[in-house]
Amino acid sequence: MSILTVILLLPLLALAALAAWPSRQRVMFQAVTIGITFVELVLASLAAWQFDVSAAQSFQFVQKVPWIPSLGISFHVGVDGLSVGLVWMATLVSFAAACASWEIRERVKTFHLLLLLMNAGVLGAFASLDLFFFYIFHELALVPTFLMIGIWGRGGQRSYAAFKITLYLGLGSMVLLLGLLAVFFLAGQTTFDMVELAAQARQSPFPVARQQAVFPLLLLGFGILASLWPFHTWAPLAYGAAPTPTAMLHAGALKKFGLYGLLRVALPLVPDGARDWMSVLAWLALGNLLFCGLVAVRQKELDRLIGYSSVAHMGFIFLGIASGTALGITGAAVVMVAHGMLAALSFGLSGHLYQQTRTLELDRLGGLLRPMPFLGTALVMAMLAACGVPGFGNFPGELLVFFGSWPPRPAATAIAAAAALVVGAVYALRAVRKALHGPLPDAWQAADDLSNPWRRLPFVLLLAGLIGLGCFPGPLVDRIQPAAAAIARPLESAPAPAALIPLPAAALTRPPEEASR
Amino acid sequence: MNAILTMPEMAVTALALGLLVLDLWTPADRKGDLGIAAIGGLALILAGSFLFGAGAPQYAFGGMYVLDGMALFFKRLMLGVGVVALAAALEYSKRFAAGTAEYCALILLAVSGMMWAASANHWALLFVSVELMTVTFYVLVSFERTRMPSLEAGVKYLILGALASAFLVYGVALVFGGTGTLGFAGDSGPGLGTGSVLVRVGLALVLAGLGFKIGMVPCQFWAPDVYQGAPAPTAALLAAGSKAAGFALLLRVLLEAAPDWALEMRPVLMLIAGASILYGNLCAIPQRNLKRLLGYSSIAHAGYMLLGIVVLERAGAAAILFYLAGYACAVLAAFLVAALAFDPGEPEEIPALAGLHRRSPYLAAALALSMISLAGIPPLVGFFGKFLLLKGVVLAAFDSRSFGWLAGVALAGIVTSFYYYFGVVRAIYWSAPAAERPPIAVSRVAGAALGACLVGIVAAGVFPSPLLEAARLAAGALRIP
Amino acid sequence: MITAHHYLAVAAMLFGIGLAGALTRRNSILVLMSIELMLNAANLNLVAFGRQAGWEQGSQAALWVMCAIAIAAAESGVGLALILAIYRHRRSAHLDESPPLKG
Repeated sequence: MSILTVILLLPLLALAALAAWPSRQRVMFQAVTIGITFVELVLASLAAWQFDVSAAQSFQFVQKVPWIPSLGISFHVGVDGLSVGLVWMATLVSFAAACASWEIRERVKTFHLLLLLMNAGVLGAFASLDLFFFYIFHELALVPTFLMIGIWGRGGQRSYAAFKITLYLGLGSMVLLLGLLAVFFLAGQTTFDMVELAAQARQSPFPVARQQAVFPLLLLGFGILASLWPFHTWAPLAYGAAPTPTAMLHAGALKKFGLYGLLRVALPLVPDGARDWMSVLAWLALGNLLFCGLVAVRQKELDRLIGYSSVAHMGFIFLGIASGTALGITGAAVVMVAHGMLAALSFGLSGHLYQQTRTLELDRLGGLLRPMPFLGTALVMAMLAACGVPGFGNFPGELLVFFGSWPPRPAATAIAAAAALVVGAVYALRAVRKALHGPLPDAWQAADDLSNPWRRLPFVLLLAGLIGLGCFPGPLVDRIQPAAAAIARPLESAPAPAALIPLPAAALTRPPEEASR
Repeated sequence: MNAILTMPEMAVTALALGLLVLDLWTPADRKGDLGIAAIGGLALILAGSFLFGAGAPQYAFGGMYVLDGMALFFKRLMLGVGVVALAAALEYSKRFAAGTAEYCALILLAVSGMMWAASANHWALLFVSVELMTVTFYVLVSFERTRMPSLEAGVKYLILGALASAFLVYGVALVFGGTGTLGFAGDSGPGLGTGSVLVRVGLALVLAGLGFKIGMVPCQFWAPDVYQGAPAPTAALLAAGSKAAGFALLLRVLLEAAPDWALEMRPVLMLIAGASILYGNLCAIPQRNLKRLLGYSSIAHAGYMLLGIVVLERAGAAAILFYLAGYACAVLAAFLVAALAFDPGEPEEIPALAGLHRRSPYLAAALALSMISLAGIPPLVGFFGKFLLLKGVVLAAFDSRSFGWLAGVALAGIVTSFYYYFGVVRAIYWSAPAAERPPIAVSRVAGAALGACLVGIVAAGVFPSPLLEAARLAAGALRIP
Repeated sequence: MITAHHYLAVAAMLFGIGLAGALTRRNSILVLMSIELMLNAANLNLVAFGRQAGWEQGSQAALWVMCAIAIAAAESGVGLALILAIYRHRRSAHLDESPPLKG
């Protein structure tokens, strides 16, 4: 049995076992969840260590079990250089989220069952190599998210937030389902296996006109799931209302599904359809970076600010994907890993802060660095990482994105580099100043600074991951690069057939900048 | 004469009649045992139906009756639905002053009508089986004759049902005039041909009559009122069984008997499917009554299933069969909870479900799972059914733009439905209850029936292969020319 | 000479009258009667067509008409019982008087 199968089965088996356990023994549930996610983290680290870098573009730890033979659906897991880092990041974030579930005091059993289900969904989405399971695993998290925000969420808007995220993600995944089904038909209705589909797409690309019809569906579906501007409004609202572990897991790991799907499914399978849309995607990415960044500056509450900044960071990743170059895609994948840890860290810290202060309004917070040196320091570091300071994981990724994106789109890259980084610095530093400096209200003199070392552990791990990735990005980049090069190859090749059969709709959407070139 | 083929139907009918006779000698406090006996008998018949193999189609009564893979699939489905409906009836009939055995016997008769319908190969058997079902439902719907809503629903069902029957008979008469035969497929060579105007008009009228059974636009007006007013077990049987019987007949008529006409009418059918999806989902949004909401959503589900008919292929028919089985599990679970979670006489208002997770975690989880499956979220069976139906539509969309629109409409409908299905989940799990209410005790029979539905919802969603293969095998028996 | 067309025309008229009555009348007994008219229109059609189709099919059609009449009788039996039950509740057989089911 592949190590990935074990990682996937663990939470599901634990779920089944805990479901039968009496709900009175509350500590038991948290202990099991933390234990399971820790074992997952260890196993994922082991897999990342054993991963054969020299064959990073091929899938490793593969296991394939036929599931629905008549439709060509099989349970197929495996990782290549692109996904091995994501799986590792997802296990780390899951562990941190499980540790952060201290704040859940009521209906503990239900919460941990849902958390395990969500955990399985996140990991399965990144490890699956079958379109059907890839989709199903992501959807596993939809209902737990809804329930967690609704039952344990905070603020008067939690019901609204729960419905908003569910309807948005439901819309995104239905559009995506149509797109995936269309891909299935392009490939001759024989298989849902991503590896076979990709091989087929490489050998004999699908008809260009068909690809151009299918790609918008995939882009819209994955885009909504990854909070592409202007479909981003669900994210800050839902993360602000969600309980801390949910926000950590969702913003950190699950939201990367849409981006990962673009890289894993949309670009390799329908590259000729993708090419025309790349510049559209680049401009939408600027919308993420600038618009959401500016909105983040104006936020009055810390969790909203973090939520908008997390949406803004998606812009870097979209920009890297839109570059269509190996360098840009590598950068995007690095930012995905780094941002996963960053988002989990930020939401974890703000969640603990909320536990202590019962408010996250920036105007009412202040001076918290004094009673809470650990939390304050961690928050400062998270904010520095968010504005792309060297030494943190985001920096190498963003740098690679800019390098990769410059040759095809200098203008957009220049705007992104100049404006987005400045905007990022403004909101990050504003958050630090408002929350941590200035006069300290009396009520919070004795705020608890994560005094229990066990509670510090997840934050320490996440910070260590961020700094480690920032200082030594080599191992991750080495793993990603061959896989990214394989994705970029069909995009960079001359678009001969695409140019011969222009679709009017696609031609119209091409921005003037590129058409004149 | 192959009367042996009709054993299952005969057995169900005999069971119903036997129940009525036994009722005469049963003391009032032992009436519940009769219900248990009925459940056991029906389950035995269900087990016995597996003795029939799905081989080549076999005929009885001079080709009037056919036993093929599809008929067998539907019969098993209806027997299963009947078992669960009887369990619900046993629980629900505690609130009747009298008539437990009659209620159970009527359910059995309705089930037998549905089973005959699954084997209909002749307009006469089609009409008689449909009427056996419908007339029984008039009584079943209005069975709580001391409650005005139940009577109102009964009259509504009676009048619209009789109207639909009139359309059906008139349509059959015209088809008979056009073709000179009352059989509709049989070994004499399938297909009626659509040459004459008489046949076309007749088939349109037949479609209207059968459309009433499945609750498609524009024959849907009865559904919300009747679902709301009828006793919960009746509504469950209507949603899961009557709809399945309607689809069994529709598949036979459209795909086997009149495929040319169906092809000709494809745009109209697509329009009907899209309109049903939109109407059902949009009207369900403001509903406060759980059963009424399920009534509107049943219209939407009929629309989804019509997507499997408009592609006019075996794969589409297989998708419908799979979807019907999944829909039956989910909707039976929902009505079972509706029968258990509300006090006698209390309207089934969704806000009254608040606090259900504390009153009975089992019922809460069951209703939530059922709603999520109806919404079509993986890994539950409702998702896989929608997946199969959409698969056919997306394939057709490559050749015809109008199917692209239809897929878009289906998508919009499904996303809309998330809103109200999740609204029920919200009411169960985090709405604040108006008053603290006592825990609900679930009897063993009802709990087991509910458990069977839940196992179906989850197992057929996670491991869809066996059910899918059964559905494909059954659809393979359709003699599509 | 009376041909099948004549029967067809009469039946169509009967069906139309019945449909109009069923849609416009408010008294439930009248509605039931209208529906019976529609059913009988269909029966008339069947008999006429059966005569045209020859002995074998014709006898089937006649048999069918017998079934249809019996079923229609059952239907109206149940229907009248229902209307009676409602009448006991609210002393009226009209369909649209303050029905509790709306929306």
